[in-house]
Amino acid sequence: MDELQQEQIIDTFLDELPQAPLPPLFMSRVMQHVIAPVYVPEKFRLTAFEFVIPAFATLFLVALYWLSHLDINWALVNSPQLTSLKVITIDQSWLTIGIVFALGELVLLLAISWLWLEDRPTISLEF
Amino acid sequence: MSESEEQLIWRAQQGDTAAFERLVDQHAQLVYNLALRTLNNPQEAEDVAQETFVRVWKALPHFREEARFSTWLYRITTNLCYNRLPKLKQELAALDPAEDVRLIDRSQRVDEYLITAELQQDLQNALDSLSESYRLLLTLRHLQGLSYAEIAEVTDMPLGTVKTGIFRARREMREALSNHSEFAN
Repeated sequence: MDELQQEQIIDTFLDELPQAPLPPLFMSRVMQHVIAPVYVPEKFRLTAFEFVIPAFATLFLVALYWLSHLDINWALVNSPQLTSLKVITIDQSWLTIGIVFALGELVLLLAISWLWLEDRPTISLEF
Repeated sequence: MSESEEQLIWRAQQGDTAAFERLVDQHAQLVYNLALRTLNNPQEAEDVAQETFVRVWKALPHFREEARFSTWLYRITTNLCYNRLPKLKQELAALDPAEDVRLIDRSQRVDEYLITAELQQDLQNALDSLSESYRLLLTLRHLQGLSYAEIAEVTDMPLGTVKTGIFRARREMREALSNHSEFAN
């Protein structure tokens, strides 16, 4: 079978593909919206970026906050062996920024959870 | 006497819901099938088709007759599909419009082929295995019967991108069927 014949078979198949019938009550549902509009929220959707990045940022900041409160961390950073290296310095301003970000992320995740419960979102793991 | 589509649109623009209902009745199945074949999900397709007509009703006073009503409808449906599947538009935009495509003129068709049930099933599987963007293009071309220029307008893509997409979609279908005894070279 040559390419032209194959193309013609594909054409025939695509042209004759049967149409699916409309779902039951489709027309009445559309007209109901038109005659008496009701507020229907858009389906809430999450993409991987919207989900993974805040989650990662939250974990990172919580870890930073936790590390800053570990005596062992301070001991390690301030140990005579490492003092000259200055591997990490966590001062009060970093801590404040971390707490603000962590609280922001918490509010964001609570909002996402609420929208999720309200509207059964579709999570599409797309980048 | 049946009213023309222009008369129905004019009446619907004045707020006549009965006229709008007749317009919906005329186009609903094609809009639903466009969404269904693109998204491959009956529930999502129903949502998109319903949302399309609600948006059309709201935007109808602004509709101008320069565009075909059906093309306008399909454009709204396609945009809603883009919203559901962000990668759909990205895939289309990523197609190389400069690719050398050889689309066979449909007037060259010499005879109709009788497609056996087995080949029909394999063709269906090949179609289902295509990406959403290819299914969208093929549906606009074959179910809706749009020209390449109209598909470009509906999808908001350059003409070259549309031709490349349709060419590649058909090539992928041919490749998927290369092992079929009735279809192979």
